[in-house]
Amino acid sequence: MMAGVIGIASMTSSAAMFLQDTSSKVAYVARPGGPVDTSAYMWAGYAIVIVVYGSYIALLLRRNAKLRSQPRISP
Amino acid sequence: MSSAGYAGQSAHHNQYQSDQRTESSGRFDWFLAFAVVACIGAMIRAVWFTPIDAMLGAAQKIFYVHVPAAIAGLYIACGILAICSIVYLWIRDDRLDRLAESSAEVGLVFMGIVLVTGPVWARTSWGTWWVWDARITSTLFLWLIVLGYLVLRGAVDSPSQRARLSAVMGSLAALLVPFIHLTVYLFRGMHPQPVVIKPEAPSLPPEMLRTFGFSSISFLFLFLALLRMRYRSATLRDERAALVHG
Repeated sequence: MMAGVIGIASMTSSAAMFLQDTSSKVAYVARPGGPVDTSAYMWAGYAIVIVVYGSYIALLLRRNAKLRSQPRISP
Repeated sequence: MSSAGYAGQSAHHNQYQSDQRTESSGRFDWFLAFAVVACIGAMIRAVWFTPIDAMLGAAQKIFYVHVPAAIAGLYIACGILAICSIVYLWIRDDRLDRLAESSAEVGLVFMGIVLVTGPVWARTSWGTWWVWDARITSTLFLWLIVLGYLVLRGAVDSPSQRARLSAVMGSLAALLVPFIHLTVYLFRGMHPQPVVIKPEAPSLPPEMLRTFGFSSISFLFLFLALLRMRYRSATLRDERAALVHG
């Protein structure tokens, strides 16, 4: 009897741990109304694009300005 | 103009003139401004005026910046790099070397965008940031080779030797591009097959196709504007170097 109670308790706690483990690894929860909300990823992607292109344009402008500010020998 | 030409010029005219520092220092780059405005317009259209994909949700809209960056960075930038490098080895014109260098650098930025936005999209559609898929891995290799090309240019002091070595490396690097294009057909992987650049009709709804076309043209303009700007920078740098070391 005692062994049966311990066995059930052990199985219950194992099942609870199993559910806890898997729940943290679930990527999405399906929504009945349509696709999952992935707008955060979209915004992240567009933010990366704006930052990278903006930084490169700034770098080129700075580089050109630096080159132009150097004295040159007139023909 | 060759280095010898600049050297001769500097021998005759070695007077510094601060009031003529540059002929175009105050010029506004209208082409770049137009390209930037077009890209902002394309992104606004993609985010707010294009339907959301039924399966992938809003993250699918990364497609409108990911694929145009791939077209400009892989096909156009590497194409220019290869053509200029091969022709340079033939006729040894410094302008070709500068154009190849400029194309490699701007292409590296565009390929970087592809490699960074791809994982953000992959996280939502594949459930993981990165897979060692043939197309993704070969694109990363190409990015590293182009980076190596630019590092090599910085490591060689002699201009003629630098141009010759980098032309060889540039023409070999671009050989990877057709392979990258074919990887989705040759290997089984996670990356989808082309939806627009393929022999059959594009498999996109008209609204999405219009946004993609607008975005592709806008980012192509941005690529050309940056290439033009970078080429001018390289020309100015070489002029200054020839005058100083002449």
